[in-house]
Amino acid sequence: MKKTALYVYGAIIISLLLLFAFIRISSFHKIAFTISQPNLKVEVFRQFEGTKTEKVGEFTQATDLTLENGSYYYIASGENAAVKVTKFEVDRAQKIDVQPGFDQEYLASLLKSEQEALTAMIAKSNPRIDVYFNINNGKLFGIGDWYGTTLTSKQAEPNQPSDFYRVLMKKEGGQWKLLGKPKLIWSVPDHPEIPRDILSQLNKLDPTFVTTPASAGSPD
Amino acid sequence: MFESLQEYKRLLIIFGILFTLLLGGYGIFMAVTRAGKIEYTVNAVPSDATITLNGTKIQPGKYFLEPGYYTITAAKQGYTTHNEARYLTATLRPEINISLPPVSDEAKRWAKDNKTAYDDVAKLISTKTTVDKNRLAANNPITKKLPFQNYLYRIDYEPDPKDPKGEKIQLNIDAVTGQRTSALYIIRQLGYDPMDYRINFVDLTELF
Repeated sequence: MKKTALYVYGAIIISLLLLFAFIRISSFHKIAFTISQPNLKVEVFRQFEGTKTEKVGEFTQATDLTLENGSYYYIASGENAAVKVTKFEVDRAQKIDVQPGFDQEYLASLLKSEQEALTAMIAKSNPRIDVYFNINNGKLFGIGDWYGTTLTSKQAEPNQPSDFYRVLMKKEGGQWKLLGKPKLIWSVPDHPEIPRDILSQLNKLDPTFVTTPASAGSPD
Repeated sequence: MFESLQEYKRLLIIFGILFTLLLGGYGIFMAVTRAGKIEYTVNAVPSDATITLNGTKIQPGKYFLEPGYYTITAAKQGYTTHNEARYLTATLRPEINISLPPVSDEAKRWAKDNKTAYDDVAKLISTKTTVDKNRLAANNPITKKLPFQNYLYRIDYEPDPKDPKGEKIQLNIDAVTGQRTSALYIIRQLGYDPMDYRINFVDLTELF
């Protein structure tokens, strides 16, 4: 009798231990990090409730980390890299591509040599653009592979609000190409293929603050 | 007599079984052919307009349709042609309501004589709009602040015609020229990012 009870208790304890082990193991997931920007250092932190954080990894090349369910964030730093904190949740295995983009200063320096050609390309894309609109100097986004700018009406009164259009270009294989027609707004539902971050930066361009119209002669 | 009654009973049982089988078979057939489909009602005025659904000619009435993206057209000589393309989903009120505005004098006379028919479809359109808007409100908090209107523009919403689930909204901005950008700015001021929504600018001339 005692022996049987011992077996039963033993089986229960082993089952509970196995169950606990299973629950524990299944709360960890493989997160495959890739880095698609040169010279980056990536630091991964776990965010606990409140302000407590814990560094769980650091790497400079593609790395797999096994992380427990929870809230995390990573900071990528490096030469000319934009400082950006990116949050992510771990509840399943996933792939994360780290590309914070270049910082504004570096992007502006890259743009200097391309601005004129980009403006000319926009003007050439549609005859109406050059006739009715000023093509403003724009901004490079990402790693200098996206360019966005605004078009303001030549008929607009200086102190009156007027509609302006946004133009988006992408560099592929070293060649710039225009994406679609100029739009008042580039929405996520209309362009699910374009990274949200790029759309966000494009839609925040404000010609009031950007620059002198490029077609009217840039002060640069 | 007894024998014929027995035979009659047997015959009755056989017919009963056959009838049940047929009924069951019909039920299974209908369930299989209608599985996953939505019963949509098509209403139109004038009711004899040529209506097409994805190119197939139909008439006003009830149809069991697969959820999906449909092109709906309705035309009749003397009336403005109706064209729309949208997802038909189970989430929204399952109706296609078409009202063709009269253009020719003859059509205008007909519309005047059949005002009740126009009013009936207008009521259906209004009810569908209200029901759909209420259903969309739960998933789209911005709807609590809409419609937003001032003397320069009006911002309202409707179901996003390109959302397969019928849960998202499309913002309609009806603004005077030069004020569309201001309307977008106001959406940000309301605490929402306009780029999260499909936006339809009413009467926007294609410039490019």
